[in-house]
Amino acid sequence: MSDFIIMKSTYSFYTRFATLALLFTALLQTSSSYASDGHSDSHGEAHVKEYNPVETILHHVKDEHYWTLYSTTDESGHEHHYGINLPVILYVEGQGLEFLSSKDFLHHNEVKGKFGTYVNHHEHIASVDESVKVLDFSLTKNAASTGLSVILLLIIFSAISKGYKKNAGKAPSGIQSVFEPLILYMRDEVIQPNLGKNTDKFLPYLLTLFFFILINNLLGLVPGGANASGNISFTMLMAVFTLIITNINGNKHYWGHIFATPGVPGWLLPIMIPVELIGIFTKPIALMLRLFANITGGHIVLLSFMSLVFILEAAWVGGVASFIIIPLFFMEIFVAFLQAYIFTMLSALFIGSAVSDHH
Amino acid sequence: MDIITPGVGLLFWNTIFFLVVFLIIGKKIVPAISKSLKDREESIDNALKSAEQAKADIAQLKADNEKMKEAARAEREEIINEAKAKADAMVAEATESAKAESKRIIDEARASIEAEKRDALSEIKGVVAELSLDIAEKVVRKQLSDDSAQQELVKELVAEAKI
Repeated sequence: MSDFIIMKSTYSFYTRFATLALLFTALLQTSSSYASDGHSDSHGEAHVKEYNPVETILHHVKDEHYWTLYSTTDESGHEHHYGINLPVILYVEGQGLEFLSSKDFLHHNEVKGKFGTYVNHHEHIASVDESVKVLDFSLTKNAASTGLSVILLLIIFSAISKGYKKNAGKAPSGIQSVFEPLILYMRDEVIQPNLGKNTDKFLPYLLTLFFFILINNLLGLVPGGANASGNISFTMLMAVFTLIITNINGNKHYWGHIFATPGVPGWLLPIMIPVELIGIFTKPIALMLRLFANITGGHIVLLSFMSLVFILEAAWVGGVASFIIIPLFFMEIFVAFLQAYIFTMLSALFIGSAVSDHH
Repeated sequence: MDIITPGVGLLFWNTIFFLVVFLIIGKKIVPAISKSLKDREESIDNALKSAEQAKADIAQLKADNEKMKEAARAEREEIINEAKAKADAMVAEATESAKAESKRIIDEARASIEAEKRDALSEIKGVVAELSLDIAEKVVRKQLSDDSAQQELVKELVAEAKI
């Protein structure tokens, strides 16, 4: 299966990218309907909603069920949404799985399914009948963005892998030479110094982690993209993986350090052991929060400067703000690399200290 | 506060996505890349090492050449010296033998001269004896007539007998 994805394809790297782009264009849809939420009281009358920067920014930073690229409201209060219609998958407790379309939920209306009626309240889909518990397994915007990153990673890495087959023992070429410095840097400067002789064992996890975080950080910066790696679920998952790998590979020195910290008098151990046990969890929690805060923070800062135009309601502000936004955007690209690097480096450090033979 | 609340759906999808990436890229591609990189590093290392070795070999070869040249030179010197010595010895021998030969010839000559001399002397002795007899005869004959004249005659004869 994986061989099919990686090796056997006769399409070139660029053909695959073009195919992917076409596929995405085909997914774009327009959805329009009357804004029928109860808040708008003047039907048919032109109305301009008060611009609320906090709401707009948080809406951009958070996950949503429909991948909105842009939306407009015409004079008649008619809302138009342009974007990708993603599936809504609900697990209704005791009933089963419910497959719906996120397009139907766009206007805060009730949507009837097989097992009941559901409503989307601030991107939280619940059953109208409050006694029915619903678990939301929808392929949301963030999930779709991460899925896209998986496809991109597979395309890129199959091209790199092919490069290594073609140029065995020779200098790298094409996309391979773009990624080789990154791979070599991560291996020689980040993973090797922390893991030493265990490098080969943890190289697959750490390199996957690095490129997975990196590509999701970068996809988040693409206009219209999702804030996938700035989502707490994403960062929590990565941190949990590091936590699990650190602790299942921890050797006797690692556990010895936790349960019998060397150089600590015996009567202090009842205090030290809980502290060390908490320490196991604080490290991944720090990882989780660092990535989340940096990526989300970056998005919020960029959006805040962009919001200036709408707050001050003057187009020239955009020109001025660009002088701040463009450098900030480049800084965000740097941060995308930096945070992927830091996450990987700290993961390597934690794993390395858990498997090293001496302290 | 839902911004810091993990969603079960996202956790589920991201777990699947990460595992897919880990199983395909982490477990298959990364070890292959890692191996290729190591192979390449090794081959570069080996190439450098063999270049170093070739350099050393060439230096060794040069040194050997120099040594052989030196040896050849020494041998030539030796052969020349030997030939010279032989020539000198031959010359000396020839001189020696020539000297011996000449000496022998001289000796022979001397011996033959000696023999001639002896022969001549013995001949002279014979002649002298005859002469003496003649003289004595003549003296004896004259004695009878004059003593002094006799003596004068002896003197004359003796003078005559000198060779």
